[in-house]
Amino acid sequence: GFLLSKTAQKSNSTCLSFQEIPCLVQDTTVNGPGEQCSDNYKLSYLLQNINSASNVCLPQKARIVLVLIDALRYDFMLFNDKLQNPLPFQNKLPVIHRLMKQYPEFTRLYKFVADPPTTTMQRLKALTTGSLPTFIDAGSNFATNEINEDNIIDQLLRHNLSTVLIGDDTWDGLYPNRFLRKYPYPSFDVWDLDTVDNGVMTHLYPELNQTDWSFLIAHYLGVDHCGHRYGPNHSEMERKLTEMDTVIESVADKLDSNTMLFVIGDHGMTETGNHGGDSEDEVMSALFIYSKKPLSSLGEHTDTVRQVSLAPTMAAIFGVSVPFSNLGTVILDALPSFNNSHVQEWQWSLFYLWGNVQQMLTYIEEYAESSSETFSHAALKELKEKFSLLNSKLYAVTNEASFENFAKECTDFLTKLRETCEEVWIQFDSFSMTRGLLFLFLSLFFVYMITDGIPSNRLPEIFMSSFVIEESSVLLYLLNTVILIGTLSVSQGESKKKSHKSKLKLLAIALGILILVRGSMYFWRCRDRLEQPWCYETFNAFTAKVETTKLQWIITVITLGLFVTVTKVWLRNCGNLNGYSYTVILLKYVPTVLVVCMSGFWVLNRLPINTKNKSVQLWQANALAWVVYGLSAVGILTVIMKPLCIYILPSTDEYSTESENNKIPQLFQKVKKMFNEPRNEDVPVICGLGTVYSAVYIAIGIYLTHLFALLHGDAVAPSTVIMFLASAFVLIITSIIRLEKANTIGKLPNCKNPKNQLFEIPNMSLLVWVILSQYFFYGTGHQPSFPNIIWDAAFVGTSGIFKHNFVPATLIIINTFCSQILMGFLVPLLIIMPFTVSVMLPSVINKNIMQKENLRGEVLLYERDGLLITVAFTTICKYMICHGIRVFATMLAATIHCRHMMVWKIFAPKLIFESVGMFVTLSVACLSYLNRNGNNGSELSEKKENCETITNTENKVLNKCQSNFIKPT
Amino acid sequence: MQVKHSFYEYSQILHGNDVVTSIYVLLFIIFLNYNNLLLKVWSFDNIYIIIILAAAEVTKYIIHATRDSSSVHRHSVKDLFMISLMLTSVFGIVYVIAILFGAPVFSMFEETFIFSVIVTTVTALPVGLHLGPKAAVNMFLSLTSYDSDNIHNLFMLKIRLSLFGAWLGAIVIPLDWNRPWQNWPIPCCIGTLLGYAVANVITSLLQFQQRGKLLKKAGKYIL
Repeated sequence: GFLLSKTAQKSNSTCLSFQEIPCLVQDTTVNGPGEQCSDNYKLSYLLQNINSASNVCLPQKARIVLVLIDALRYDFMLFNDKLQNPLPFQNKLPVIHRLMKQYPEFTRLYKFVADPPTTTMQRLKALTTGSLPTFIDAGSNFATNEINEDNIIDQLLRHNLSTVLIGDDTWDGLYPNRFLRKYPYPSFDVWDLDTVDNGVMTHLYPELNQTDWSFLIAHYLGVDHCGHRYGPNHSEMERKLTEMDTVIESVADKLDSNTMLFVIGDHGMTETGNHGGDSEDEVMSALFIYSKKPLSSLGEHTDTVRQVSLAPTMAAIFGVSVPFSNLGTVILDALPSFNNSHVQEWQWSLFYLWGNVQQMLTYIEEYAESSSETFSHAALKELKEKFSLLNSKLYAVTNEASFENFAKECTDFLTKLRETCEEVWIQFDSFSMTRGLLFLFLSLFFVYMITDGIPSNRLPEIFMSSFVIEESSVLLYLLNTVILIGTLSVSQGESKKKSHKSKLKLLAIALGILILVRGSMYFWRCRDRLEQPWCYETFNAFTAKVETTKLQWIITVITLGLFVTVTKVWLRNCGNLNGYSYTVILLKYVPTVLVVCMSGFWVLNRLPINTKNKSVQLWQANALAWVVYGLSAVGILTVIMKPLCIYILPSTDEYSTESENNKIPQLFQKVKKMFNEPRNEDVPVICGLGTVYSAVYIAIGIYLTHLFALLHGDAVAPSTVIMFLASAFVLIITSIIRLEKANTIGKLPNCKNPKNQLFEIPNMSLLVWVILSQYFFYGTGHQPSFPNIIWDAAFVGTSGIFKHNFVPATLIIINTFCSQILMGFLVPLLIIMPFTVSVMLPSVINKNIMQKENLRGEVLLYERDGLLITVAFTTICKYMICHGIRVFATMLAATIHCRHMMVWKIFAPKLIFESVGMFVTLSVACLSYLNRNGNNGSELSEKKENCETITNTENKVLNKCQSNFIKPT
Repeated sequence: MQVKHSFYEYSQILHGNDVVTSIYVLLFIIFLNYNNLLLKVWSFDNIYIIIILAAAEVTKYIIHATRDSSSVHRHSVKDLFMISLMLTSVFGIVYVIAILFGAPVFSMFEETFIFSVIVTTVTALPVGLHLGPKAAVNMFLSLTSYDSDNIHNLFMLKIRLSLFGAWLGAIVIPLDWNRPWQNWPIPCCIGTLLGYAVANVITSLLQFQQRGKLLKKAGKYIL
């Protein structure tokens, strides 16, 4: 329960509306209801009796049109004539500038500071309730749930004023059944820039002519979607902002004298167009006010206001009471001024301000009562003292000057109140930190004792925020160290008889892999400019979200092509690509088809929008993506259902008579063979038996890699290939080390069966596997923070709109946790690979101490099926434990820092990512365990007879199979 | 020509050498620290720091050679050429590995360069001078699995510890303490030097131990 939650106060503030206020005479006797006294008299009485400010509502001053432009950053609003070459987002809203210049009395422009998290729903809550959102809410952004705190819309309803909504359906989720009329549009389809905006425009203008509403919300999403898709530095952004400009201009023209226009942004956007965090770019949006009545000039003018302040300000304008849990300060100079001779300007403002102060104090008191631990007594006492001090000064306010002073003090007081709340809800306390640290130290110690195979530098790394931020580099460092040392120790091993060539080959491959892994740094995603100022040299750098270039597309296609070829060559060399079973046929042709489909899909997606609409329908591009989904699913299923990629060679006679073209040489060869190998004919030749087990996993790996490549888009796709290749190489290296070790250890007298040593997986290689799976989380361009989730993945092959969020959610999860999925599936390869290597790459192993049996490869595994299952079980368990330790450590770190400033930004997302990653790993590893356990075993046992014959005939047969089929020269 | 020293010979002639090295390297680091040069180690302006280090190695070799010319590896001109070739190749390899381990490719050229030079000076230069280029190349080619019982082992220890120090130094780089000395390549350079110093302490201790054993033996004979 470390995720802080703020108890929502369900109480509402109430007030008597102006008409209901009975006429009071000086000695507080109530007049009869029928009697009427003049409004002016009532007003002046109320304003004198100012302590009732929070209980009484003044009449409505104006109606409000709230144009909410999602992700409207402050600098979008500015206009600078001197700018020579404006960026796409600069100088695109000249109407603001024009209005400001033309009617300085009627307009106001503020920096509008949001509180993180800067996601739309949280912002809407803050705007309407005036309270601070907490993190729990952030998670529920996509299943918008009804608001239960007191808010401005409910207040309006209570006063029989009505609201009209046009735009984002998030509002509708937050406030079901509250609107007089509503025209909601789906908000999730980030790739669709125009549907929502066009819809809003068609409904906005007719609504402006209606008179039955007092609050009109027009929520535009185009700018936000454009930011998500293209980033701010794109010509599309220019188009959207210009559109917004015309909207603001025409709305401003159509306003009647009793209406105010608020143009606000709910949050900003980073330079890549994302939002959610708390960097300045994301927090700083804009508030522009245009009123037909002159605005009040009282109160200190500030450039910057908090977003929570909008709720009390609107409440004042509507003449309803301030929402109960509001923490904002009424913006005095945004209120329209009053032309009332009886009452002076400042009295009005004082009334509103005091009402605000009273409301906030009541809220804090009630909150402190309901959950007594949150506020310290000292802080509460101090607040109360201040309040009484202010209260005593209240009656001394007699003119404008003294009001100015008083207003300043009140504003300070309100700010202080808000800050107290923020502190309580966000800050940490040192006691729990020390307690946590102690706990951490002890548990770390025990964990270390239990699993001493894990180097200690892996564990504490998650405990510092910087290590979370820089984890990618740390993992890269560790991974490359492991690869380098592994290769060196393999290539320089004790065996001096190893051929020089294979050593060099190994070193060259290692160098290639190292360069590839280092190259995957290019695909890293930067978290945040503030956190990672060094974030350079990456494709996803901050500067812009560019469309992928042609070059990138070409490189991607070439890499994928190479990947397909390499894996095919490997499988063919293993002899697993022979025969006509479904699995084999699919494995032969599907990867190529997948690559073609993917590249086609990317080409279609890269076409500019206008031409795409004309020449290619959207579904045609999507169909290609679905072909990829479908084929890879079918491929994986067939591999799981019919895992055997072996082919029983027909006996030599049949084989040679099959081909009818060149009979004479065939016959000659047959005769020659009969002379050479007379005894081999009764033995069935099975191709690919030496690599039965590994082929299954490699096949699954190939399909998965293609799937990931599609989801990552053409820019990042090569990183998935790098992931596959790097893990393959690590597998080979570790298995060579193990092969050599197993043979030397096997000479010890206490080991009865030296072969069994190979089954034991050293903790080290398991650890490498974990590092791999963690590194490629970063290597494929992910970061454990919410703004960096790649939402684009949800739109690959879909239009983004679904009744349920199931499909997009699955796609995003597959995209985000691709490395965990792949590595989880391939864990059994750790057991299998040494046997594969011994068959496939006998040259790199020290032949002198290698036993003959090794050449039979994975058949050995079959012979020791029971042992294999137990080993697989323990391996997967250990693998889980490694991940579990990570999750545990992150959890601890988050607990320790639970009241730390960084927690929302760094630790909580990290924890959530880690746990989801853990779940994914868990389920995937279980799947792969079941897969290898159930199917592979049972299928193989059907072929038991064949296997037995094979095992009897030693490796000659296998060699023959390979020479016949694998290299058909 | 290649000289194979026995442990005994080496420790008789060179036992002072390692003690001196460990002391002066530590003193050197302290000196740099007090003159605020440690933070600017990576700059080309301060390249004389490395020249001092290299000069120290050469001096040690010359002193060694003058004290006892029989056990020392004497260089022909060809050998000197080979040594410089080896140094450049070691430098290149270190540079590439630094980049592979995460050093920036296109920026911070100066930093990576100086780091590689320091590593080369500390590891390859003494080995090349004392044992000759052939032995040095051999040692670098079998970094993880070198094993012999003569003094090559001592040099191997120095190389390994220096490289390990450089590797270990990188740990502090990502920490968020915001200290100026956390920037690449300062901790790695210091780690290299410290590793070298520690290695020298260990080797001198090993030699004392060996000498002690030998003296005991000799004492027995005398008695």
